[in-house]
Amino acid sequence: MSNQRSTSHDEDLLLQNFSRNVTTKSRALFSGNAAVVSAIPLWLFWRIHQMDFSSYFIHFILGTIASTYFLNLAYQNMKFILKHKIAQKREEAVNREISKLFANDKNANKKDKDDRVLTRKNEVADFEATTFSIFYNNAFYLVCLIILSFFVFKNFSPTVNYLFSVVLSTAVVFLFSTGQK
Amino acid sequence: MFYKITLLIFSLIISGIFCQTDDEESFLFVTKQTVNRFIVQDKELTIKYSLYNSGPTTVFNVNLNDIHSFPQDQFELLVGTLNPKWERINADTNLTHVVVLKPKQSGISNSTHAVVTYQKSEKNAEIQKTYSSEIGDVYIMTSREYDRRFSSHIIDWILFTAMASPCIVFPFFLWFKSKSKYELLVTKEKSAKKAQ
Repeated sequence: MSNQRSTSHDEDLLLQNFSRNVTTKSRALFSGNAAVVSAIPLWLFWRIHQMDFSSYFIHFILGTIASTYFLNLAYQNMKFILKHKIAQKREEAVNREISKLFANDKNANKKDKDDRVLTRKNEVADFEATTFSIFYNNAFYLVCLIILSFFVFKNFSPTVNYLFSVVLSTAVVFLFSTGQK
Repeated sequence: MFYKITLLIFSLIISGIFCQTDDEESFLFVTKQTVNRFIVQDKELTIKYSLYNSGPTTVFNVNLNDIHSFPQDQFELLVGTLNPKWERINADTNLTHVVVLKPKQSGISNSTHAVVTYQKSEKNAEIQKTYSSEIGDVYIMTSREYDRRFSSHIIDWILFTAMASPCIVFPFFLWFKSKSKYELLVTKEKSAKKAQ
């Protein structure tokens, strides 16, 4: 019974480690971030390109929804790729951290310690991959958008400027997130 | 005989000189131009009229009329008049008149010649009419487009940076804190092992 329980627990850990699926908390975090980062450039388009909300609200809504969706996917892709790399890097450090914790506890067996190390490694890798993915994709998206909107498409009409800037920067960020090995 | 021919030639020359003096007239050359680099709706537009008396005599009762080029419903007159009058313009003299307007509408606007009338002499009441150069078709841009192209927007950029910074700085800080903590753990152990 306990074997079955520990096996399913091991399987859960493995699944969690190798699965592309994100937890609800992660999903909410990614969606929230994507929505905020997609909405912030609207300020620039309103104030600098003089695109008032009443005339352009359809463009803004469609652009924001599209970029939120693809940014979300970019976050998840990059997190999945980074998590394994970070887990490998942090293995030794997490081992030491857990060893220190278990140093005073004589009752703990190796199995519990290994489980603990695996869980902790997973947590740390998840956390670092999530934060780095959010930081990198946000920075990349905003830089692309500013370059496209204020240098490349500077002399085009506001509508063309907005649509092309948002679509191209979203596409670049999304494609870049799928491309890394 | 020789004396008669000389007298005839002399009288012809004298009459020729007097004829020339009677036919010498002054002409006014009038140019009309805009001083602005860009013409923007609801911003000042400066028009400069230059009148040049090219001839040897003074012209009188000079009257410039350009009211038809800038109708009241399309342009608001801020400074100057579109129908100035001058008593005289001396020979070989320039005269400049400036008018400041404010376009009320945007789009393409055509500005035609101004009409200038004057008398060539004080006694002769005959009015001479001349036309200025024209500005032609000009594009009056909207104030929104002008702001979009030329306003500095420093405050807007500062506010954007303030809004976007938390989205970038905060995740970076969290990642960097975790990374530093675990890398420090590894380097501490390595240096402790080396010391041993």
